[in-house]
Amino acid sequence: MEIRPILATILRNPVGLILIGLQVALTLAIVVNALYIITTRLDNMRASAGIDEDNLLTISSTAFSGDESDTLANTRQDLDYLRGLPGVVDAMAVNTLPMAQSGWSTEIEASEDPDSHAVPTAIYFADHSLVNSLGLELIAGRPFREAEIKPYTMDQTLKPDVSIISAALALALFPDIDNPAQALGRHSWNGDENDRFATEIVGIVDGIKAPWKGFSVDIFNNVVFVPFIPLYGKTGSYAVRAEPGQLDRLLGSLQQELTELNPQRVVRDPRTFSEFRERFFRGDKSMAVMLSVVVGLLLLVNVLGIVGLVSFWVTQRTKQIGTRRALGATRGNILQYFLVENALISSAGVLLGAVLAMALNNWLASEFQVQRLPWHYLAGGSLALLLTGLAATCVPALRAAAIPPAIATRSV
Amino acid sequence: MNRYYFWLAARSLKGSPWLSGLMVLAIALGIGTFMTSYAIFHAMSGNPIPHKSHQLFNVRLDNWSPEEAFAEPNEPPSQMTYRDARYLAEAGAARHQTAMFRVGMAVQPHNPDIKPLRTFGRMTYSDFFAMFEPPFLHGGPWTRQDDRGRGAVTVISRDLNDRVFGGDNSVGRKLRLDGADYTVVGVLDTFDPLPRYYDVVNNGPFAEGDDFYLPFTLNDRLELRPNGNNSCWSDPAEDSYQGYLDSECVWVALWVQLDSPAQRRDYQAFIDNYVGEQKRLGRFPRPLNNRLDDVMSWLRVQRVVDDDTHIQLGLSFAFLLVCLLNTVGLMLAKFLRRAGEVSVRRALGASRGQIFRQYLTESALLGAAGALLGLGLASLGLAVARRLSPDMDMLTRLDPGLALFALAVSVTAALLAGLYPTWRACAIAPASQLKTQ
Repeated sequence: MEIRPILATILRNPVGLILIGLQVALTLAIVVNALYIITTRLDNMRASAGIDEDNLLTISSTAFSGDESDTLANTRQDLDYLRGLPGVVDAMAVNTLPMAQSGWSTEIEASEDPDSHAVPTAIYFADHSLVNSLGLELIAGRPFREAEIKPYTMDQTLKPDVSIISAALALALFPDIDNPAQALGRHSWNGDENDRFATEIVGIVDGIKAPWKGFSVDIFNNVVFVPFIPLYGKTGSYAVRAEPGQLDRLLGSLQQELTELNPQRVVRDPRTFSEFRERFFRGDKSMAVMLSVVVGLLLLVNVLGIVGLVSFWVTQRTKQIGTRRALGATRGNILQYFLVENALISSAGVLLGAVLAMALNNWLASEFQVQRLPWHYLAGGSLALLLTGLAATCVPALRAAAIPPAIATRSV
Repeated sequence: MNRYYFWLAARSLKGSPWLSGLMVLAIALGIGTFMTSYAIFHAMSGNPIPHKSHQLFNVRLDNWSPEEAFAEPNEPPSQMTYRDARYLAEAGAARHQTAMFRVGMAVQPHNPDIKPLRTFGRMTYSDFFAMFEPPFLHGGPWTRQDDRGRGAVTVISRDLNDRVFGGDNSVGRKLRLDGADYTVVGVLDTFDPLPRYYDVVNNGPFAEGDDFYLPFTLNDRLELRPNGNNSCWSDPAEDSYQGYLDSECVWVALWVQLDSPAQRRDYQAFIDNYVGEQKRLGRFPRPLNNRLDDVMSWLRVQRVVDDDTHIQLGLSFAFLLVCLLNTVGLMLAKFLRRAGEVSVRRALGASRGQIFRQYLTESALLGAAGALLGLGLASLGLAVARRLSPDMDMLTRLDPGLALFALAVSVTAALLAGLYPTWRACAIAPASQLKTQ
């Protein structure tokens, strides 16, 4: 197949083809970037919170009056009651939960020197029932002991003697270790310059997530549990872990039961962990859906445009095609002609599109928190677009190939 | 004559239903997608208080750590310490000013048939109502006298009034909050500025409003902790509530009303001077970095329109461009296919201008049809967006203004797309096509 006559035709009347080329270029630029964002979001949504997600609920209560010692008494009474309920595995007072989108954070260091490398981490309050109450995986060390648990009021500076930390935090804190379990018995440091204190690491848990993603991806995996019962004014919040299949029953009854246990307060509706999770990933989900729609429509418009334009050319060139057929060109030759034409113009479009895609990605990376585009997205996208273009061309090109030679003898 | 062009255009569109349909579809998909993103963006980036957004200022003081900024690039904390906010709110250097923070409290209705509620409210000064102008259904704000005298008064939302007082005029009645009684002095009507500019830090720009408002000074007795963001760069000096109030922890917002550029300059000088004094007392270790942001500037600083919305808007606009390129190609095909007709009309005396108008009319008609279908698609898209984020419900609406905007964009786009094909059609010589026939 000679390419030169096709090129000559393209050059003689380039506008329509330039339009297709531009369309392919823009489509490629948008599609690969959108697909990359979609994949990133879908990856995010697969993250596990590192707890028994399916069987957890939270419930909180606020007393009408009283001080923090009353809150402590109420909390103890509520926890005793919850732990004794049939269908409850265990329960614990909490300040927040993974993916809850609000909570506490601090920066801790591996040495007494306050200027040493600081690692940001989320803080969870926990008691001796931690592993059972949340369904955590303790990979090394021990849970808190009952004697270690103290009440914490908001006026105190948080100074825990012992802590249980996530494996990711262990590795971030101590770059010299390669197994998180080696952090056991070591100390993390916190506090202002003139008021430094050390906390002994007694346990390591795996896979637990922070309440939020934070400013960097790191903090999502950095978690420290401290042995305190949180007393936030008159409010107590609890995480309750249900036995499999018991969650719905507890959801329906807990509010009523806790209110009856102590009517001098408001008990809020319990919420399942799944609700937190759904809210947490809502933005990712809607972004993934919206961009998927754009990608789908874009490909559709692209295909329709190519079919439309090539159909027009086929109609316009009916007489020439008939003449070529009459002069001995086979159906295959005609089909080939249109396919090569499209391949040429699409390739040019794809080349331009690759440049545009990189430019768009650069802009997204500089303005927003979008990562650099991996090269295989560009390669895959280009190939897919070339094939789509050829497939779309086939529709009218097959019609062109079917034009009988005799048409050349008729006037159009 | 224009009616004749419309008739011609309609006839031509009917004459090639597939190609016309394809063009309308391409425009409609582009407009539908773009308008879905644009409607959300438009609602998020709107001005919540157009008549005085240039007079209301959020105040920030940079009391952060000497080692690092609160946020890069060198942003002061998004809220203030209690002591600074309270001092500035009571100094009265601006026409109106208020410090505020959000709290959670339990409501214990006096009517035993109504279940107790957990509610969220705002500790603030009486100036709040003069500055942000929430509409009152009954009664009015409390007075500056109440601010000074720690008056046990409250203004409640329409919603709380409905739930606790059954929608009656509750002015003068008592509301029991966390075990103490407060006299209702005002009931607000629905107050949903979009975005909720006066508290985008704690409550989120599109979250529900406050159930109640209490005089800030009552906190001397109530000793409340904020139900919102609290950030500290150093621990309070002593473990007590007073230690917390005196600390460098930031959790209170300060807003002021400044009616002229001169007042703004004076106020900036006033806070700079205040921080200068505090520096002499050993506070504010960072270089002077105090900010006054008016409403729209504050919404920008706080990135109320999030990244995802910007990305969606950008990509959907690029999609609209692809749809337009597509339309240009299809129009070119359609117009040139009718080269014969153009030749005949030209040969019969139609001027280039007349051909030009005829074909642009056809483009505009395509644009209008695309807009109508596109608006249908956009409402579909917004319905999907509503399902995906139910709490953003009020952000996902099409109003007549947006519909007109869509029509304008669509017709303009179609006219632009039609320009080159029309020009090509005009260039056809009167007799050229007649010969071959």
